[in-house]
Amino acid sequence: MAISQSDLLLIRQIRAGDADAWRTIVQKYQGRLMAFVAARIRDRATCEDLVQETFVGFMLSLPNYQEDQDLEAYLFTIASHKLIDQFRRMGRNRTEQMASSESGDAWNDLPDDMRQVSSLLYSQERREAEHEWLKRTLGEMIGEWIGKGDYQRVRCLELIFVKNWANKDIAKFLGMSETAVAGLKFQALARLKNKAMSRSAFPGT
Amino acid sequence: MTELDDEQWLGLYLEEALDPQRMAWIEKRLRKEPALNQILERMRRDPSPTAAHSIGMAWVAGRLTCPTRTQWSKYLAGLLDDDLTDYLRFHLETIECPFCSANVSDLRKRESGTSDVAELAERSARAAGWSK
Repeated sequence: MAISQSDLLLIRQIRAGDADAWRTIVQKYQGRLMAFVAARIRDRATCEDLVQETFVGFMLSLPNYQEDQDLEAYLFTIASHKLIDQFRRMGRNRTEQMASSESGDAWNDLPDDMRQVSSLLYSQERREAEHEWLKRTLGEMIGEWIGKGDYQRVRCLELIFVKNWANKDIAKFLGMSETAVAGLKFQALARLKNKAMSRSAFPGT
Repeated sequence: MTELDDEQWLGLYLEEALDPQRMAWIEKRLRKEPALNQILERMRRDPSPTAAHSIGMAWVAGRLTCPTRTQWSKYLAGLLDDDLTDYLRFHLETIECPFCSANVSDLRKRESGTSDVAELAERSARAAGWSK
């Protein structure tokens, strides 16, 4: 998502020292940031502190903020980092409340999509370029499927790549065969690989 | 098993793209390995997007299937077509997108008049150095 024109205007006004623009941004995003943090931290006072720290962090990072970045996503990222800080301050594993076990086998069935698309990927710059390429290319593919109303495909792939569900669980949930689920995954990966191979996607190749 | 290096794991951790068991494993390592903490701090100081290249991470970081706030408003008002409504419900209740959950929660509070955004906003403004 790109930044909205209204947010872009507010950012520029804030950079020019406009206090009212700052208040507008805070009022606009405060509620959703509170909801985001409150889903993970029970204590309301702590939630308010973390959201305030998020806005302070945003203010401090304003010189580095790139105007083509979606502002909501940027703020949520800062809030995520503040949450990590908080859990470390609390000196506990936040997922202790969520995970029923710390089985060492939980990640053994990582899907193949976690592999690097390019086997030549090493440098930070290269990784960032690939990350941006993936977001852009995958975004185009998803846009195409949604445009055709192919929500079943989008659901299936979102469960595969975002939730890391096993094929059999996806098949049961969506009322598809496991073969069909595997087929959609294969098609998506093949298409991404073809696009990567057919373009100079990454610097240095 | 597909192996990721530490930076890739930490990238997924920062993007909240790991399941609870993997998160627990990372946090356990962070408590025991100072070097891993240093990598995490370096990645967090970088204002550019975390360097990562898994499909799932790109999907989450790009919020590629997150509906807009306007769409969520229409969803809550029952103004979307059935296919889109079903998809939004799936994204909220099955994918459990934390960003969209936060947006929906905020929209519900504002619609019910229970939002205390104005008061909190003033305190945040003061905390960031903006005073009346």
